[in-house]
Amino acid sequence: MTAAERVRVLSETLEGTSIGLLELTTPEETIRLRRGDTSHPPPLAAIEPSMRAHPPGLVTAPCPGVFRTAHPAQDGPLAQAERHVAAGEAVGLVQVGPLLVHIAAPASGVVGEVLAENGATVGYGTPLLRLQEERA
Amino acid sequence: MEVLSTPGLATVQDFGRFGSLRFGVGTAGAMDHLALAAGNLLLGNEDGAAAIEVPLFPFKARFDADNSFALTGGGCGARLGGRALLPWSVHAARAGEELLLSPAPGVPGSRAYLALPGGVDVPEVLGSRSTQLRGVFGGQCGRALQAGDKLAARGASPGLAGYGLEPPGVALPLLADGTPGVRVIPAAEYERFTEASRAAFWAGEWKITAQSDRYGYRLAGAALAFEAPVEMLSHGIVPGVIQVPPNGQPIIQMRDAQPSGGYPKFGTVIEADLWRLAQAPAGSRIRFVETDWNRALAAAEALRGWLEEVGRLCDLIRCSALGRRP
Repeated sequence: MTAAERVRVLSETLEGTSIGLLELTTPEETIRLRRGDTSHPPPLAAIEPSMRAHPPGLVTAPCPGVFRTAHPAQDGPLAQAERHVAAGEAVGLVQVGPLLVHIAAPASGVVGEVLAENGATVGYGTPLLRLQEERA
Repeated sequence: MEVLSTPGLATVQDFGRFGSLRFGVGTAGAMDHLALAAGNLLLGNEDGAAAIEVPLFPFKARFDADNSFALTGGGCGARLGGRALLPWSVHAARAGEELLLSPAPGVPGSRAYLALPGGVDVPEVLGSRSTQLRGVFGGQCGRALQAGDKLAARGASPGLAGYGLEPPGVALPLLADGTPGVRVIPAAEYERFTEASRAAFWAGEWKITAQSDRYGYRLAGAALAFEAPVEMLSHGIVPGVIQVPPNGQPIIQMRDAQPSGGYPKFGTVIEADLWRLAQAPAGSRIRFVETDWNRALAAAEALRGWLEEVGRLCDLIRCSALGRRP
């Protein structure tokens, strides 16, 4: 998808919402969409560094949505204390409409305390659970 | 990717081969159109891209290069290189990693779909990449996949992973008295069945027998009786048509149905519910819910709406770094 296509898709999505300003930062670029204002306000405070600075083992929400501790088509929870997970396996989900964004374990380990409730509305960076990393 | 092992009947399927019924060529195509469409939307593929339909497990394949893929449908557990995979999701495989789809009785559904970026690269025959098993053409050499088959993706790996969908069985449930339901419009010979049989058809539970496959589902339940014997010439039929042979046990035509048949038609499962039937395992029970043309169109519209919303959000997540693995 080109940058122009991304702007088109985002603009279409914002139509019909009450969102006045959207800023999207990816490894390649930052897109800022502002409704009805042609001035150039300073960028939003960088969120990413604070995300990166969280304590080791703390797993946070990758996007806003509804936290799900289990997958609707699977038995057994993903986010459950003492569950062993391999690196890259999901330890929970954030639901946005029909979309389920995986929360991948950054390393192999054991799920510790689960900090957010199943069904809780979470924001970008909300602490979800702790993961005790295992050294392979 | 290379198929390492399969118990059989895994085929390459797109939506099907349309426009050739008059030549006696059935449509074939994915049993579960919704799972195929969802897999393609997850990857940003064209609407009609071909995927692999896997009805029997274990199915094992190896990726020979780094690639993303989408796994939709149901009926199996999935592991990639030793880690458990979530269903209805996009995953990234590294070169050499093995994908294992294994039997999982507790998992809803009965067919898994494996979508690749750009779709599975097999030649188009009569405008479709679907495997036509009866005619032995289309798909991978007109046959089911076997160990040693190498399948390429038509598109480059987009490097996507880490997101999926709420399964449509959860998002769009249909239960009739606690049993999975499918909606049916009465067909041409409906009035020629006894009133008691017509009532029993809607009231009873129907078991999907082991004699059920891509050609048709044979059901077991209270036998349906005709008011008087019915003799008919062969006539055109399509997937979803419920025929009743003289033994009174209905047969639902599925995607590999031949284009004509001579048994009386009791009803037709609406197109919008064929995916529910496709995911109902042999041995399970279903109920029929009577509907009409307008409600059938509304049901199709509801599916389109769900797919549009899925497509919109998948486009959005591909815009962000979230869906992209570096």
